[in-house]
Parts: sequence; C-alpha cells; structure tokens
Amino acid sequence: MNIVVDANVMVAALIQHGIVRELILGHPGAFLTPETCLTEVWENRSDWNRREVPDDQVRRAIDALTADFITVLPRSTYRDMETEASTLISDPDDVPVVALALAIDNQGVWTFNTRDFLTPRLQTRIRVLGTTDVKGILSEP
Amino acid sequence: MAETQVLFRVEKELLEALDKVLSAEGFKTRNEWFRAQIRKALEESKRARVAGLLERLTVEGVREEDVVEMVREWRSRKGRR
Repeated sequence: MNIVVDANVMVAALIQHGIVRELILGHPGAFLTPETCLTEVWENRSDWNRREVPDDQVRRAIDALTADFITVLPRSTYRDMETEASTLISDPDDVPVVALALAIDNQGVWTFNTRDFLTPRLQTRIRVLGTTDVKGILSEP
Repeated sequence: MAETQVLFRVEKELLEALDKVLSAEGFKTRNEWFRAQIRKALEESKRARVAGLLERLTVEGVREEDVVEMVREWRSRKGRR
C-alpha cells in the first residue's frame, strides 16, 4: 500500500486530533512523502507549532512519525518526473508530491488542497484522494 | 531467521480456551498466534509512543481548510521574499 501525502496532511497529522492522525498511525508504512515536503513542514514550524513546543521535542515527534508511519523518499526517487509534474500542477511547491506519485506505484495522492489538485489534466495522470477516499482504501480487505 | 525458543507456563484451561479460538482467528499454530501477538504489541507500543509525542503539538479546533490556508500563507510569504 502506497499513499502519497502532501504538506497539508503532514501538518494535520502533527497538530490535529482525529481521523487523519488515526489513519496514519493505524497503518504503519502505508504512507509516503517527498523529502522536500518534510523540509517545508520543518522550516515553517513556527506557523503550525502554536503551542510553542521546543524544537527538540518537535523534531522527536516528526522523527517518530517518519520512522514508522510516513516514509520519506529522497529526491533521487522522483527527480526524473519533476519536469512532467511541473506541467501538471501550478504551485511549484506541489511539484515534488506530484513527481513522486508519477514515479512510483501508488493508490493516489492524499491532499486537502482540492483547488490545485483537482484539475482534469492532473487527474488523468494521478488519483487525487480526500480523507474519505483514504479511509475507504484502507478499510478494503 | 535466527529463532529463540520461549517457554511459558499457562493454566491448562487457558491453553484449551486459546486452542479453541486459534483457528477461528486464522492461525494454524500457537506459535503463529504468539508471533502475531508480539508484532501487534510492538506496533501498538510504537503507536502509543508517537501519539504521546504528537499530543504535545495538538491544537484544538483546527480544520482541514485551516491547514490548507496555513500552508498557502507560508508559501505566499516565501514568494514575497
């Protein structure tokens, strides 16, 4: 099972109680993300770390999440697909996620960003998943 | 695979009860069941540890659309820099 997650889903898993975190923690190894996504989430921690948890504890939480639950893949995995990905999605920060989805076998990209991801052109190449879709996939026998 | 033998003491009635449910749960042997229980316990322990670490970061009342907006905001700031 390979489901690609974007920065939105990573942040939700870190700060939000509920279904997103439950799905990720309930399915170790089912989720993947590009390394740039992890870097972006870390670099912008002052935006989502609203409880001002010290960096070493934030780092420990992220490390634990990515050690067993979300696999972080290096750019070398998806670099060859970046050119095509950049023609499919308008936000350059989303290119690594799309490129990763083009580069490996997967069940789709899990995102909350329907505005940028739900374009007909992109959907001809990758499957875009909302939280309900992911829940459905993971409950399939 | 290197294996270590483990000996357990267990009440006879408990073992008989286990044997009755083993196949219903899809296990062929006690050994297979025991291995599965170890894996499950280790996974659950990892999950509980990570959940504890994430609890410290949890913010009440955040919705999916709030997260999308947050990410959009930091990206737009980057664009302005």
